[in-house]
Amino acid sequence: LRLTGKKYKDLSDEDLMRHVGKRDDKAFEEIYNRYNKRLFYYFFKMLWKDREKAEDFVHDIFTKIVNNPDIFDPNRPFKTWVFSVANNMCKNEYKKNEVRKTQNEFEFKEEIMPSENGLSGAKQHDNQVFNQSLNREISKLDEKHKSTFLLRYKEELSIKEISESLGISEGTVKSRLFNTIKKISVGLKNFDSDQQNVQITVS
Amino acid sequence: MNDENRHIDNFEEEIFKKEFENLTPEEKEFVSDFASNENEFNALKDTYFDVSDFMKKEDIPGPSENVKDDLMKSFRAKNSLGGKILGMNAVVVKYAAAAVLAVGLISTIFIISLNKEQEVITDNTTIEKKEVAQELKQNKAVTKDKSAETLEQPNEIAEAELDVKPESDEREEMSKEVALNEEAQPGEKIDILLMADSNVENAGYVINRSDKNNNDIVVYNNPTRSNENSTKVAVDESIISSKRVANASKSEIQESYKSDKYYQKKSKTKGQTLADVSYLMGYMQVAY
Repeated sequence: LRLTGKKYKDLSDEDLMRHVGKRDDKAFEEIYNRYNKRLFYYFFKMLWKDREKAEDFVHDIFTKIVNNPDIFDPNRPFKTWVFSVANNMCKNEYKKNEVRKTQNEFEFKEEIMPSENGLSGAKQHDNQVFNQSLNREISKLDEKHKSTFLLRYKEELSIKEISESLGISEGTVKSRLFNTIKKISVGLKNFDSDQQNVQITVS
Repeated sequence: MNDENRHIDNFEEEIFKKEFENLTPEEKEFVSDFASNENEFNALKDTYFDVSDFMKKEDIPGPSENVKDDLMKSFRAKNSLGGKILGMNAVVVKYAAAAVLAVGLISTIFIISLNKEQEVITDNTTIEKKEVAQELKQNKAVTKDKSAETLEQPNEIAEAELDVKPESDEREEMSKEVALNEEAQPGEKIDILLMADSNVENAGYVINRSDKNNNDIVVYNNPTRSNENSTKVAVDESIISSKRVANASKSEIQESYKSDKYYQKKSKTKGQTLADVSYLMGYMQVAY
């Protein structure tokens, strides 16, 4: 029996995947709708902000499900599994693009920033500058710290879920998260100093 | 979520909501790897809140609609009947292929053995051809006068000569116990084995039927042909071409004989080899 559209929305990821296993295209569509943007964000951030590549990777990860819906064990959390697959895809890509990774590690690309409606022009500008600098620091992170950071602060996965997704201990997850915050903190501090120096020079 | 798990899941917040001096010894030990004093700890704290706030707000457009369209198409195609067959995993395909091969092999062996059986019948028939034909010719005049409904024993033909299969011996033995010229009853089914040579010039048939007591009666008859020049297997008009009319009345049989279906059947035998004819027309049922 096929469910109505509303019922699909009420289903858990795992139940949806059970329906996908029974070749239910509506269930597949729902799981795609839930995860395409999140995975795109993850790939985009992990893969040097290459939009085209991120799109290809989203396509590829869902193609794995299309080709073999039974690849996922519905008794496991889907979110943990899908990000584990995504992370492995990124790892392979890093291996393939070792040169590019090194070259572009510090490359910073403009991104769409969070909406700053309601803020004054000066405050908005400050926020944009801060966001850009924060983005820059995140871009500088190595793949291990970046993946842990994204899963924690964007995907809001628990420490346990991250440890399962990345195949590392919970202690390592905590340690990576604090390390990342420290790196960003140091980077932002240096950036602030540079900005102040620029301002002093200009004035 | 229990308290322990909640603590684990909010562990950064649990630490950063406190002042440096209020950290537990375990927390202080963990933090000491990243911040050695209060200033460093406060810098981490500020960064943590900024970062978590920024990450919650940050948004970028997702993949284009083409990605979704393409995936949906693939999913539907993959799960169509054809797609399912093609998409079956290798093990299933292997087993299916093995099963098909096995069935094919068994079918081939069966067909070959069936053909060999037919060839044996044909060969036996051919060997006996001349003698049978001679005997049949001698009886031709007599047979022509007989009604199609009456089957008679051709007395002159040595029955042993006409037996083409070992089973016929048994029939023959049994037939001796009953009256050979016993008339068939209306609706009674009788098997007829056609006999013909490779040119289908001379054809005859062996009628095998059972009497009221289920005793087999073997009756031989001479060939009749639709006309003197015909190379077709000519059969008595009482022979019907399909089981469909096996229990039909005589008039129905005659209609069947005249029907297109009969002629189609007949035309199929034209120009075919004896084996083909035997196969097509071999054992037929006749009803009176």
